[in-house]
Amino acid sequence: MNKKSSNLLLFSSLMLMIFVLVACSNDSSTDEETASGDGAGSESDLSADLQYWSSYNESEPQARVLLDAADAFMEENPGVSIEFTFNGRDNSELLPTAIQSGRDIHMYDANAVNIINRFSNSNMNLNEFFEESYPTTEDTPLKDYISQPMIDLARDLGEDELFYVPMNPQAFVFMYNKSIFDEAGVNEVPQTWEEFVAAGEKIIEAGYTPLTTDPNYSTGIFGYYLSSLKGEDWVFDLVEDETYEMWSDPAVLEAAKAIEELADKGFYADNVSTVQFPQAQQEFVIDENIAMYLNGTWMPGEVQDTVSEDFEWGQFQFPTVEGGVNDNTHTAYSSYGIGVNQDNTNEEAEAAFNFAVFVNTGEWDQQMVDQAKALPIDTNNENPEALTDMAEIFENTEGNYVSQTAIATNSDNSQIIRSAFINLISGESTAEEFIAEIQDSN
Amino acid sequence: MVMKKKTIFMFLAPALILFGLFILYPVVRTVIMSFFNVNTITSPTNEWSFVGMQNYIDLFSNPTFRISMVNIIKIWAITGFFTLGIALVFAAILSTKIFGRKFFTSIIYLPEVISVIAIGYAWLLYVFNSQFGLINSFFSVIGLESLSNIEWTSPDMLLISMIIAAVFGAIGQYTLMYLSAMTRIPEDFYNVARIEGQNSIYQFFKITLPLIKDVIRTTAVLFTTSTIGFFAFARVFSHISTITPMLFTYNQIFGTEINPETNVGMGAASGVMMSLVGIFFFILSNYIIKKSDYEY
Repeated sequence: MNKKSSNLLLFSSLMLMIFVLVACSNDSSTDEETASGDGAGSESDLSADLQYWSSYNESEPQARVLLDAADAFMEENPGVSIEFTFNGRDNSELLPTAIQSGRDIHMYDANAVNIINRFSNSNMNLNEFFEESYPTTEDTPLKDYISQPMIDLARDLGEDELFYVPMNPQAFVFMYNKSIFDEAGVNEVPQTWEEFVAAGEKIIEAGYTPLTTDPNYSTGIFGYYLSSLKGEDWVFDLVEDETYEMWSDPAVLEAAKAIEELADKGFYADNVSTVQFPQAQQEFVIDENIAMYLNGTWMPGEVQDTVSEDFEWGQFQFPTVEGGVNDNTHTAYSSYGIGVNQDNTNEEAEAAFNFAVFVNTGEWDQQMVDQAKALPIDTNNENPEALTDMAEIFENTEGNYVSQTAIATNSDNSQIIRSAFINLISGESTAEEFIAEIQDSN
Repeated sequence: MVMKKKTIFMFLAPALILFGLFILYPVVRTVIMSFFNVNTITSPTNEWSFVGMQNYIDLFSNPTFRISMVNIIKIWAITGFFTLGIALVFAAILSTKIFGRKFFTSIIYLPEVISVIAIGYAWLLYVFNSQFGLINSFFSVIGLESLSNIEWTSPDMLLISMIIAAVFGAIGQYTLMYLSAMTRIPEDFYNVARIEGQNSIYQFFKITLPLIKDVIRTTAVLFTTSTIGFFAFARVFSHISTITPMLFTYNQIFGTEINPETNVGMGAASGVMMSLVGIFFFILSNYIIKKSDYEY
């Protein structure tokens, strides 16, 4: 090899290395979508270039509403530009690392618990912003304008401080098919566990299947039962107990026996041991021969492309369990939220918060309701038709459980519990065997 | 040609710098991290607190990790046996002059160009579906009711189902490697065998197999290292019987939507353990398939 070609090879190698390094440090992403406003006349003095990282996928209706709302917001505020990165649910995993690595992100959304637990190093305290009124809050301070249960939840999670603007309230409740209830002669939604079992028996007599579930939501019914019986803190202790001795508590057996009884009576769909998400929820709305599904209020939005227009949605809270410490006024609910990065300049923070209010009030909150079948956060907006029962449920709700209940909160054993539970509801194991299966895993 | 040391170094420098930056540094950092309590994966080192071997103690007392280790051994053994075995058979067939050879080669390789996640969901939600799935429908149509009643996505069957999907997804690349090795064997060897009256099976075991032993050894090592990183199928099939150490590590470091708690130190310890297991399997693969004595 002569010197000239040697130098050429060396130069090429160095260029390759530089190219790789530059490529790795490049901030641009093909996933990013820029919402562009035309900057038509406005007297707003907001001015900032905002980067918004979202937990929605670009194909989800919530993302479309965010993009459209951003367009409208930028039209009203020509000094503001908003650029979105839609990461889907991985946002909660990606965002802390990205911010810590110095990425410029001014605002973000995620479920409320993740905002508080995972983004605590970047959350700005928003108390002062909530005291102000905004163009879409009818001269009312934001804290008094939007849904009070969601504001209370935000305060609870933030230990009396507000770190996010609530959006898309969600609750984990029984979704049911009203037509099947009517046909089976179940005229009132069950308030107690006994009424729940009786309703299921009537449904079976009418030729329908009372319950189904996908694996990821399956343990919710067990978590609810235990939370009603012993309280949520006890269930947290149960799943964190590394000795697994708490699983020998009579309350666990009682809850497992109650579920075993459902399985024995044929409450669960025949294929409950084999369905994989989202098969069961699709069968629930397409086949219309299953009456109930313990799922989230996000479900009507997820199945909106397959559900018939005639499907009659209903919701009811988990029924009261006899001898329990909590009654059916306790519901697993939460919301998504928009957080603001504390490293923002004042202008950026103000613009970010104003957009968060803009998208969660008035017309754009209603757009979330209409397009994503989400619950409104603006109390002046109407629930989507599929979730009309939720208004009464929230009125009756006095206590809160974590989303999908505490039984699923320890990743060290949640899959073990789920696997054993599917065996229980499919009749493969008894209550005692279910408990033994979990304890034996240790 | 004799090159100066300086020139050699300059040629090696880019690769060495990239290796140090993207391979060596993360490995060393992960090993160190496994002895510390770490908040997030990007936490600065001054926020780490030393916990000694505690992460490893916690790791081995974690039931999910223990299950994941057993799972990965099953996946390595069963998937490896069938993937490499079927790839060998396919390659042996395709190395003959059968009709449509190029077409079948392309078909077998096709899954390699499709996203693993997409393949995983296609198998989970459609092929294995108990009501309208491809497998059950096929067996039902041909009248094999006992086979059509198999519940492929039941907890007891999920691991097997995942392994079937993984084998299907991995056969292509190994088939091509074996095919490439087989086409390098001089045709004369086979001609002599045919003159001696030996059939195709005898030729495969006495000529083909011994002469591609080195390639089999290489594929076994490649398969082993890729199995240590078994992740996407495990995430799609998402059951305790299919969880792997890589998925466990990911969940420990990044948490999940419902379980936001993270333990980066334990995740790092899990990563270190996976590396050790990988080295063990690497040695085992080399031991099982010894280097070829033949040259041609």
